[in-house]
Amino acid sequence: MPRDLIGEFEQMVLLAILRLDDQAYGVPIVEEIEERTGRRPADAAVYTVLHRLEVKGHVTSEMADASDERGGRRRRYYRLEPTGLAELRAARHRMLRLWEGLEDALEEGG
Amino acid sequence: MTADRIPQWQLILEKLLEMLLPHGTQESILGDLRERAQARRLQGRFGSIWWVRRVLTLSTSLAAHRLRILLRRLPETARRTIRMSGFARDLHHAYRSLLRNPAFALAAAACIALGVGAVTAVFSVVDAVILRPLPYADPERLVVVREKNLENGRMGVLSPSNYRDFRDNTVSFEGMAAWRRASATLTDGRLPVRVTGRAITHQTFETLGVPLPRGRDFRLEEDFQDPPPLVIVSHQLWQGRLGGRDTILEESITLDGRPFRVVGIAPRGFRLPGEEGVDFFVSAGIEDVDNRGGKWLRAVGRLKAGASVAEARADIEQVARTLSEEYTGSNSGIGGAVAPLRDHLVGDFRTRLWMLLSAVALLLVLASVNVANLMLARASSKEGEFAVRLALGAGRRRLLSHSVAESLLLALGGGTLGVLLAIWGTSALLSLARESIPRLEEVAFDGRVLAIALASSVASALIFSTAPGAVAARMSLARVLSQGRGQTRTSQNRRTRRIFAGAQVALALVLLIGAALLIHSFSTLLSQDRGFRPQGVLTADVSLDEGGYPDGSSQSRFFEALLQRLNGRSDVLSAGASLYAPMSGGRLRVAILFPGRGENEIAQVLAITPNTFETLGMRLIAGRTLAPTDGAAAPSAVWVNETAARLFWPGEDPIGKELKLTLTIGDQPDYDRWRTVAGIVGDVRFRQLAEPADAQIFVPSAQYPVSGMTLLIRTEGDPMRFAGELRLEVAQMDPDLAVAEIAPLEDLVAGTVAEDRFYTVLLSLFAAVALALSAIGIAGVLAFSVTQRRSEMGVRLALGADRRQLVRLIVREGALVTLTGVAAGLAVSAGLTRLLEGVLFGIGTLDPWSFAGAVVVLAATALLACWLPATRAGRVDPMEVLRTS
Repeated sequence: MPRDLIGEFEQMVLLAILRLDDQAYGVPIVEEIEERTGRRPADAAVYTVLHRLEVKGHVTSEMADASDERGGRRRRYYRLEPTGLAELRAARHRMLRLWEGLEDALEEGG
Repeated sequence: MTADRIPQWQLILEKLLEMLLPHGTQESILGDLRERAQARRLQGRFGSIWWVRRVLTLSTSLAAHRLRILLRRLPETARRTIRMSGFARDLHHAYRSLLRNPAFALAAAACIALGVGAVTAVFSVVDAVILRPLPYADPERLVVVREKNLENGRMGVLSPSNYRDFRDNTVSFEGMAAWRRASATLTDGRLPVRVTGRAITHQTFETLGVPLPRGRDFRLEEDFQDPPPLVIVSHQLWQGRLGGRDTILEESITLDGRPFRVVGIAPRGFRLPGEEGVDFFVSAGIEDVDNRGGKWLRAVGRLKAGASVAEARADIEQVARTLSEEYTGSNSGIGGAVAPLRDHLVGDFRTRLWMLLSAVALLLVLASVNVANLMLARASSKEGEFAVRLALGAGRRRLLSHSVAESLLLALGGGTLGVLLAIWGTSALLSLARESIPRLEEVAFDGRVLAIALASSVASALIFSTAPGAVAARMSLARVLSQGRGQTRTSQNRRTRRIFAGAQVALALVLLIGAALLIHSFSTLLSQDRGFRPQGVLTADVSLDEGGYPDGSSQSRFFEALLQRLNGRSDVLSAGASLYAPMSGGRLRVAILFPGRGENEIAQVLAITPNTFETLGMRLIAGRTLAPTDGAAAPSAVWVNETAARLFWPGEDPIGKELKLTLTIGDQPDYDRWRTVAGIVGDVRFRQLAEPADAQIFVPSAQYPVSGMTLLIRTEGDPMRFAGELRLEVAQMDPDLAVAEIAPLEDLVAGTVAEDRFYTVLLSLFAAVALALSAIGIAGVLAFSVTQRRSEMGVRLALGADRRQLVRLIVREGALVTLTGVAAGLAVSAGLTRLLEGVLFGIGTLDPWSFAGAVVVLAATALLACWLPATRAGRVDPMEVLRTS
């Protein structure tokens, strides 16, 4: 198995970035994951993953929009890169293949 | 929604977080945090706790992340060793384990923070005041030079002539510097303001080794009488009132109506040794002043390289001897004294600060023992887990390693919190101590202080990790299994916990006794008879400028007129004025001559107006009081206090006797005027409540006019309410005069005991914390005991025991712990209180009342601590116990 399959949490972050379009920075990414999964991820975990994804080249970031309420600090906006999108697709494909034929087990009461 | 809404502590924590965050991420992460905080504020959901938790989780996770990256960079061999030792894993595991038990982790961290914080805070003060060298060049070569009364050993300030002779006729000194207090009114078009300063001899800055960042020192030729109007301003005055102008060195400022050219700016924060910060420096102008009797110069000297203090001392004493032979009038019986500057400045405080340091060290041990107790409680509940681990093959070392990892994390976490606590606590300490302790402005949290914080954390960890370590070491699978599930080795554990609780009681008692001694001493001090009644008296300083009041008679006429106006008011009960007020720190000591006697004496001298004795509430013991008829033309009269009467005319009636004051009036030394004693007044403690009164001589100001006096005004009710009226009265007489230092006399009195109050309050605070910690310790042990002995008690109840008997059982256990603790604490205190030797006033170090009081308080608290667990014992339901065991 290739050693750098992206993990579940990394997928969640990438999906959040995908959904948030051009508004993907720290605060809304965390909130998006919380809203969609019902569990709030640890801030530090999200930041760590974002950093790792950027190192791997799956996302890029740029600083923008300083504001008074942030004490004059800018936000770091993230954008999905083609490799990131490809990884997401591959991951989804893998899971679907694994689940193939087992959909019945997903039914309640089974 | 701007940053000034955000409290200071949050900004500090943000700064710390910034330091921890990986490079490049700080801006976005901190910005996100702010954004979320603001969003919460808008929704009304913002809580400090939430914010602190966010910061904590961010900092710990990200710090760990950074650590991991750092470790990844280490060479492979190092990494393997760390991995093999498994300690990294133990740390990680311990971290998780602590997170699962937040109550325990927080309680333990809080105790450690308390202990480490107290030690760090006190140490930072000790370091600044005692350990660090003084802010002058080669401070070890600086000594303080004083005159000494050879008969009674009292030291005092110098007269100008004596100073010059000491300086010029000795060989051990590279140079000397001297100064006296000065103050003036600064006028610059705005409201006139009173500024304080010092009149310094030439090359003072050079002698101290402090270079002036701008301008120059005073020169020899500028140090003669009527010196040219030059001034060196302080950094503070320059940046403040003078606007920080770069051109200041070419400008003049107006002091007391005269223009003074600015020739230099003193370094920021500069102070003369032992003095407060002032606004300006002018030349003392003493090189040709012929005055041996009037003493007002403070002096320091710089020893020549290679000269020792003992040599300098002998040198000065020799010169003083020569002077006393040559000038029998003013100098007989007067010697010289030299002492290292540092000792002179901080000598008194050494004892007290070390006492504080010992107290906090005790507190640290106490807090650590408390943590040990907490860990023991936890270890007992984890014995099952340990046993299983042992069964699965974990070596004893692994268990120990886990305990050590936990202790380390707690120590570091608690220690960091402790440093933050210390930073906050020290600023609170400083505002309490203010002028009581010298060099406080130098307190800083540098490497040395932080090193002490680290050492305290480690020491604390060593103490409290013995507990679970001991538990782990005694672990034996067989033993645990043989006792059955849920049952643990109770008796051994309980005994250890009881020993710990007893130790806490002992330590708390030591601190309580210390606090009780200080409290008793302080109240004894306050109950001393001052000799006057400060309640309801307002003090205010008025100084006349030479321009408007060039001679003695115009000066005394002004004060006479002012006091007449004040006394004529219906809201003034009585008003007087004196050269300086009691407890104001002022003192004028002068050599006194008596007819037919060769030697002279030194006495404190005050010029006063009529009504002053009455305003202060001083007692008139014999003779008459000072009256308006004692004017300039009237026969010269003086009043003496009881001590002067006793010292100068033992066994005789001083009234009618004569004396001379070696004072100067204007330019004329006043040696030739005989003055007659007209009355005796009661002793007044003028300087400190703790100091018995000097010999005091009171001169009518009409016969010894002075240009500045302190008004003393007795009103009904709160004296400060009269302050505005007073300013109006003075302004009506002369709008160019400033009234300074308006304060109730009671405040001045309180100021002299401020230092004692400070130590008393502080030590009481430590004692209270210690008491609380030991109460928790006792309660903890007993609660544990109740839980452990539930089945036993259930059985007893079933067999017909009275509930009260169960309660008594628990209380007896608590009493045993307390009694042993008290016994140990008394024994230790008996030895330790010797440390308070020089600090206590009026009571001995083994004062029985203080000891008894402390024991009573402790016993009462211990009883209270027993109450809750004991009532729980009383409520044990035998049926439930029998069912579940």
